[in-house]
Amino acid sequence: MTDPQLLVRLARAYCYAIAPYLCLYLALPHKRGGIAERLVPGLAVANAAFILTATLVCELSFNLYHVAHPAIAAVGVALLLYRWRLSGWAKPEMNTSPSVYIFLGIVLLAFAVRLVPILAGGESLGGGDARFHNLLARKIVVGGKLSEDWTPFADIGVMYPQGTHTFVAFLAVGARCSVHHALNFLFPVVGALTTAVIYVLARALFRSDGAAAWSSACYAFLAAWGSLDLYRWGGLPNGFGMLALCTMLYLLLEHGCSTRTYEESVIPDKACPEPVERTEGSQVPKALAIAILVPSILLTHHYTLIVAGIMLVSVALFTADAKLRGFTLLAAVLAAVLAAPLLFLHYVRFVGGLGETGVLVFREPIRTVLFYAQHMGPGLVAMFACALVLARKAKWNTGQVAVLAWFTGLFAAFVSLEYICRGVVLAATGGADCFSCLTPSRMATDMVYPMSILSGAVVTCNAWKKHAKLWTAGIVVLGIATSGMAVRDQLRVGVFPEYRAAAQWLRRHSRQNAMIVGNLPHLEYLSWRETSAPPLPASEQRNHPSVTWKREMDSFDSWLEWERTNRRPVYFVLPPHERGPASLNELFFNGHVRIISTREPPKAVEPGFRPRR
Amino acid sequence: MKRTTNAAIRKGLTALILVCLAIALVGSTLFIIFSDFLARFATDAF
Repeated sequence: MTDPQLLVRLARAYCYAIAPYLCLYLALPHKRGGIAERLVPGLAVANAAFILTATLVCELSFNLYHVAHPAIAAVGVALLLYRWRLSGWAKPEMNTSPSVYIFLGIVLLAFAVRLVPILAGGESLGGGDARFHNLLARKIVVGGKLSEDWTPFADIGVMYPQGTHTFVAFLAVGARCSVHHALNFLFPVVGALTTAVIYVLARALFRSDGAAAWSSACYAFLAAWGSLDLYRWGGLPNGFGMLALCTMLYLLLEHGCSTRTYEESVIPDKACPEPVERTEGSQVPKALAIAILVPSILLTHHYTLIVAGIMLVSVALFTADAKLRGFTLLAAVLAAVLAAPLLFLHYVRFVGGLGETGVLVFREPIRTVLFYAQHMGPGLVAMFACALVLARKAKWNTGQVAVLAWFTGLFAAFVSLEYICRGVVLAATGGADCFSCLTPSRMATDMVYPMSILSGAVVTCNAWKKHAKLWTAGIVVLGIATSGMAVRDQLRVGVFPEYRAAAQWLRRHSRQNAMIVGNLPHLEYLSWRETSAPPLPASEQRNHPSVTWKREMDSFDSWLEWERTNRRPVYFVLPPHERGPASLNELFFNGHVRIISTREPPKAVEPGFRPRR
Repeated sequence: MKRTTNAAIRKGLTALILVCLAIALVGSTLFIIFSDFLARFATDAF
């Protein structure tokens, strides 16, 4: 994304998308509290509400949602104005303490750090998983509704939830740009919003602005996986899911912390204002928000739903607060009740095919715990360890113990999947296989959220009070180093001008039913042709016979035989050092990619075409 | 009463974290020792 005007158009489209839901949220009868405590969760809930509503309507028609959105906006604005009138046009409470500026500074800097690689790195198609996110989003734009299958890339149904893709498609249409631009734009937005939610969550837990700033800075600038690294990975659905989950945790713990007194909590720092009385006011907004957040997680990312389950079970099991346990169990039941019809409607037909996905049998390289620590962010891991050690003698309140329980649940699940499960499989198969399930590295990715939150405990310890400047200098240095490296490493993510030329040539010169044999990043998205290696995520039936047959075609002759049998043209995409059989014509070569086929070369001379010597 | 309970839960959770960490360290050590053998297993990356 190199055009600043495009950024402005995307920002405008994003505001248009979520503003109606933010108005609706703010119009609810909230209890008293600062504007940030309503606005930050409100923004997160607005994103979730948009995903929920748009995806459900998009099940019928994408255009129908475009018609419905202005009506939702009108209702939202009308209700907000009505609510404001009931309050006598009272000005919202504005906190102008220095902590507000620190909060805004951290959030804006988090946004900027994530925007730099997207703006400065050249025209990017997105990293890693964006290969299939772009496909699903464009299929919504082109097809006018949610995708039911992966055609023309694979003849299997879509299991992946398409909430994020609906959002991306809506922004792309609103900003009149390609879906990969809209996808890239949302990474800084999700990063900044999650930073803001972690701030208000840590503030509610520690009753300290300093701890809140520390926690949010740890997430924004020290965490790599699940934070700074989201863009390289292309994990936008995970980002949206975890944003919703952190907001849900905030709403749960805000209740859980409400019964704690100051003495039972850690000692607050001087900058912290008196805690807001949280027991007054209606619980309706909170219940409604949770009722929106849970199904939105389901429509965004299945894996985050598992992480949410681990969180709810851990908090319910390991809390001394009966009210919090009751509220958590209530949220779990609510989640199950709300998720069940969506699960039943969408996924019941796939239950029999679960064995053909990568959910239960997933093969990724086994890693050492040091590798994980390094990729989660060494600064964050060090800060988290310091927080646990330094706060070992402090008095932990219910909320802090609940977040520790969440982390423990995730860590136990990660160790079980990455090491115990593999060991059991190795033993059971006599050393013939070593697979895992449920992608253990994703569990490690999501561990950075509770780790960042709990890192704020450093600020409540005596060691901080004695050497506050040293600690601050430490986090600044670590933050600059980690963020700087993340920006540097992601500058060229998804920037493949040499591959783009080849893929676009294929789109212009091949028939729609052509088969492309080869594996280039974003080849499917740019050429919109079926390929021999479609980018299917672990949740899909990628081991279905209609997909696996391609892996068995291991020679030029087998593909040429397939071409004759099926009467579909086959194009081979090769690296520059490979030339292929002499009987095939070279159709395209630009020094990086060679395309050969039985077809005749196009008559018009194409840029990049060089006849075979 | 609540304080003691919270503290006890936190100690229990810390113990669980240490047990998991010990398993992870043992698993990592075994991985380093048998890395040549484990490297032959395929991956699902697309």
